[in-house]
Amino acid sequence: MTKKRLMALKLTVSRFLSISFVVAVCCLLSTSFSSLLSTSALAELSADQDAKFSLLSEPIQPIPLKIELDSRKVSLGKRLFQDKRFSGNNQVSCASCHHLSLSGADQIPKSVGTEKGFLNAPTVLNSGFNIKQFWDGRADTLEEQIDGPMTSSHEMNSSWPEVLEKLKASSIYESEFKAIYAEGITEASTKDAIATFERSLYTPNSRFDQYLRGNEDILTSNEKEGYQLFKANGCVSCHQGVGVGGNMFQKFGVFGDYFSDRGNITERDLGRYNVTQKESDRYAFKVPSLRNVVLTAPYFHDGSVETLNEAVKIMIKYQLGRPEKKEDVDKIVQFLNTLTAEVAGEQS
Amino acid sequence: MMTRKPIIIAAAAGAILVFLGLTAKSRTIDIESHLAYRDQLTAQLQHDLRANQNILNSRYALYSSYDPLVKELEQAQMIQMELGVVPEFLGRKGSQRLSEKLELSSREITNKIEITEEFKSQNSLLKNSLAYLPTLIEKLQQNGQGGQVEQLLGELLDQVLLYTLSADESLVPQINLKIDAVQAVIEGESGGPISDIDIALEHAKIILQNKPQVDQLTQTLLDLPTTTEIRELAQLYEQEYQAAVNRARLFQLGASVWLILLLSSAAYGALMLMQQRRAERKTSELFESITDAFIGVNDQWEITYVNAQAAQMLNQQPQSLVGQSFWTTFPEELGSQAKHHYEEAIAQQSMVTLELEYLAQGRWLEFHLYPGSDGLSVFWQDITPRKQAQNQLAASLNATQQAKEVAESERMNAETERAKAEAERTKAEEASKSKSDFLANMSHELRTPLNTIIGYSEVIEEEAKETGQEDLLEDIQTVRQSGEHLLGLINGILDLAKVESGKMELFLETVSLQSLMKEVTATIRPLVEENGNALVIKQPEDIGNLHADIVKVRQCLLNLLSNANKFTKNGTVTLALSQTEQPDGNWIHFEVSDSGIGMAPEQLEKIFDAFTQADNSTTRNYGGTGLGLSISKNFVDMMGGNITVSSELGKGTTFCICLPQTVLEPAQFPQPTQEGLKAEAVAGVNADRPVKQECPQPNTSSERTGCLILLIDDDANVRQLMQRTLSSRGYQVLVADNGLTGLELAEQHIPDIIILDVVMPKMNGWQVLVQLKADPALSHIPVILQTMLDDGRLGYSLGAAEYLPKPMKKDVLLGILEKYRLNSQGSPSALVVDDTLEARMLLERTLEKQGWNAQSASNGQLALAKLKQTDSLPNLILLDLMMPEMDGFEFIQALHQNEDWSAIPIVVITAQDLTISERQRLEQTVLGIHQKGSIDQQRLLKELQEIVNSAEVSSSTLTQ
Repeated sequence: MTKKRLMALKLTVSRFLSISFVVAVCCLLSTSFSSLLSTSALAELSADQDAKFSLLSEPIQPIPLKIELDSRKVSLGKRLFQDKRFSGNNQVSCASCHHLSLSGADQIPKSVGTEKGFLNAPTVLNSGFNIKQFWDGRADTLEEQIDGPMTSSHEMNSSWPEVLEKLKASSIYESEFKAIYAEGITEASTKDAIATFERSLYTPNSRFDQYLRGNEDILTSNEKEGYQLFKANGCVSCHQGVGVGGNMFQKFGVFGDYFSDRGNITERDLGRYNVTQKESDRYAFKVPSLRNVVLTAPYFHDGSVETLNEAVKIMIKYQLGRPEKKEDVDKIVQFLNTLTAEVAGEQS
Repeated sequence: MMTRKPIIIAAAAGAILVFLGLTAKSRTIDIESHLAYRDQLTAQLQHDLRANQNILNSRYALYSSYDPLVKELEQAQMIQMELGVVPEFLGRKGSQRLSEKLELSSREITNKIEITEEFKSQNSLLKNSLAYLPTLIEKLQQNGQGGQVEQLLGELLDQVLLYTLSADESLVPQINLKIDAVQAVIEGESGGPISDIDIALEHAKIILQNKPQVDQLTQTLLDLPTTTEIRELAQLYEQEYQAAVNRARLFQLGASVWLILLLSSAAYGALMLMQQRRAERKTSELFESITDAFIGVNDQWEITYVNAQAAQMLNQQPQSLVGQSFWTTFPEELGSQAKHHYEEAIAQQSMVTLELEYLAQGRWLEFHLYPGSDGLSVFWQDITPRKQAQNQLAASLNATQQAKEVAESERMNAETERAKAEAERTKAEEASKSKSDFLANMSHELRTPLNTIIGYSEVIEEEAKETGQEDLLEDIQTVRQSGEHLLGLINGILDLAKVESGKMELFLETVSLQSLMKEVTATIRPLVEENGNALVIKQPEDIGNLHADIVKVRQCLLNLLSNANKFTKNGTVTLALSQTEQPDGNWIHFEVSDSGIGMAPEQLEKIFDAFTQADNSTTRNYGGTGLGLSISKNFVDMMGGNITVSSELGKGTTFCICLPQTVLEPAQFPQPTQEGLKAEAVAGVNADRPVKQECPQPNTSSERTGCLILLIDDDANVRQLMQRTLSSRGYQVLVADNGLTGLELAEQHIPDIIILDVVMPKMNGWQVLVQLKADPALSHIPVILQTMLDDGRLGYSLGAAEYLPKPMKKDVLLGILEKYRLNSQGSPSALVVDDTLEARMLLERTLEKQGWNAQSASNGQLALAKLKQTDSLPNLILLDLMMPEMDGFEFIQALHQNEDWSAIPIVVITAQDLTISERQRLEQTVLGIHQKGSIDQQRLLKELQEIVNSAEVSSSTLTQ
């Protein structure tokens, strides 16, 4: 019996093998044909370069009139932005230093959180256009930036577990988060909501943007002159782009030594060096955006300058290496005034 | 089987799971995510290229925004993160390889971003100074008085501008020299707008310092292998993707193959199951139908099959025996004690037969062990009755032997001598047997030359008569008579030899005793009158029929009568017929008495021995072969009768043949030759059918319903006799008194065997046989022809129109030829087919003499070739049966396959004694007409005439 079965099995196997062979040959043929037909689309892509080379285009671009954002996240983020439970003592919210009514900053030289701080609070308006966050650019994104003030002992002095616990205690937050984020209240969702709100704080349609869009009459001749001086004096070599700044780092004190002239140098004055530890980054700071700049006094990272005129003068002296001309400064300040606009959401 | 089932189910489930797994694996390629990933790679490459363009733009454009550059790099970084999510279908290793490459490109992009930051800062400063320096120097020159400083500043500006445009590092020392020169002048002077000049120098220095740096950074940025990395990444991805696709296809292939395997094996399994079931059913049906007990044993000596008979013997249920060990289950005395036989069967791979006594049941069993490739088939049957019969036979033989021994001892008084004599007797018997065999086989060889001798002497005798050579005539007649005597002698010896070697066959038929007596009387009367004797016939008026081998009865009577006549001169020869009633039926007595020389008692003792006459001198005085009585005695014995003699020297002799009025089939006589004969007869009808199984020996079949025999015979006596005989042996018998009824019964009951009489009214046996063979439902049934045919009638049964026994008598041949001449138009033609040259020549000469066109062929093959060639078919074929290449039987068959040829009448001329099997073999091809034969030549001629005429009619009907 066993012999017969073995024989039958052998017969079966050999039959199957022959069938399999035929099938295999068929499949392999079809495979090779299809692979012959498919060509690598990627190989041709390098040739496709369609970037526009416009050397004469203006160095400053208008802020987009409309940026699409999830309005639910924006409104949730706005509430979170103003929620003082983010601080250890439940006294400080993001808005404590970035007053939404005060153009996203606090108008004091050095901000005060749970304690007095060391730096001037940069405005939250148009912060979405910044290449990095903080004066030294230590945060790559707005989301990442949130950690800084929240955990800083003198700013909000709190931690994520603490904050999330507090947020979760609120049934309203619970349901609002649930409506947007499947995972509910988490560090990521909270950050996303706040950052989305912050990105909604763009200020389009300034008079200068309208000018850029072709409305030449919207600016006075002085303002137009100011813009030309802004360019001629070399300001625009750093303050350019949509944000009129905010997209690069530059050493503070190219001509002359600003810090020794000012005196009382602190660790914070090392700027970007604190982040990169590169010698070339010593005293380098993120070039701040000049959007709404007239509203965000006092100026510089140390909040040491009260007026915009003064600030322009310092820039011309230390950064541009030019003799100071009062007329020019005034006109430049007049131009800078045209960069002021209201937050998009509040306009509508 | 039971233990295999879960395994099979598990295997099937496993196979399906594997198939599903393979299918899942083959479907892993998500084309959406593949396209998305490829788009990302494409976009990444574009971002990198645009970033490079923007770097150049920032470097060389007067006013520019870094936003596009920043945006490109930001997006590149973002895409890089998204690329980190590798499509799942690449597999673990593919993902790993891609991630490694991705990390390299990410590092390059991060590097690029960092360098870009430095580039932006430096570039901004450079641009500021480059923009301002010309303006400032121009202003200084306008304000100044065209002094040395202004001139130097002008040269400085030129060189700086040249430097910025040409990147000629050799200008740097010159510019530095100019700067130093200006500073020297400034230090010499005092007041004025010195600060402006200082500022100009500062800017010049910044340009000198930053310009190579920015150029360096720009070069570095453009040289960064980001593009290459991204391209390589894309290539790697494409490779991995292709690999994954191939893998998926492989799995798809695997799944397809597996599916095929799965379906094939399912189908195969189902097929095998069906086949197995069918085979099992068939086997079990077969096994159950086997009347022998049967046990199948596998190579592990486990019982695999037990049929009902075997189980019954073992007193167990068949199912409970399956799977048991043969040695423990089977009774020791039949199994383990005879183990070496079983092992021998396996070892030799040959059938082993053994007889064992099963003491527990007091039975003798005969075992047949058939080894197979995977075990042993054990059949056995109960042979107790046979053994008992053997034992009884042995006992009676012993008794006879003892009686003989007593008688012998009385005469010889020496036991050793008796044993010696016995041994010698056995030896002599053996010698006699071999002699008989030899003689029987010689029949053909002896008769063939005699045929030529007698035939030619007849021809010469004729010619001598015609040419008036009277002197030769007597010599020729002597030759012929001697030949005829020799033929008689040979025939006698052959008959005797056949009887002694057990090759003589009986053909029982029923004839009227009256006609038999008439025939015999007519034949012997001329001889009796020749010797001057009176022939007296005594017979009752209504004595009825005799069922016996009439030819042999006739031969015996003629023997006795010619003997009586031979030893009587001018006396009386008497043939008296009488009938007596005995317990076992009626007996017929033929008494032949003469008034001749008579015999002494001592002569009577050996009167029936072969080659013995009453006196050695007898042969010389009276001629004869001395075989007649011996043959007669043998014939009568064969028919269950006896022959007696009483004589008185000088007064006459009386022989008496006593026969049962209905002679029984040879099977009833304890003659081994008859056994063989019957078996041969049945086997000859349908050699393919194992008759033994279908219709077993009576002593083993008593418990069964038995095999059904249909008996078709018009003779009521025969029917009764056969029915009784067969029933008593366990056969079921159906009877029919004519062919039509027989056919009806055959259709209704599908008997196992049909016994068919040939000579019947209305529808004869041949017609019945033809119909039986034409019916598919009945054609398989073996038919035993219950005929009394002599060899002579075989010719007709072959489809021959005529039959002539060799040595042929010329006048008979001439008579036949005459008849065919009458039937044919113009010059008749004949084809002679015979392998013996002399016979051919003789026939040709004879035919030509009678005005026939004769052609000849030495075997059937050549004869067929001749028929094919010739335009006009012969009117007659004279055919020998025993020929090389193609013998007479085959020739007839071949002839019958051709419509034109089958109508040609055939005359078979043979010296051959045909066995029944040969006869049966031929009968199946035959649409023959048949009638009883006769040794009376004139009557034979007359009958032949009738047969031929009717054959002519039927064949002419056919050809129309």
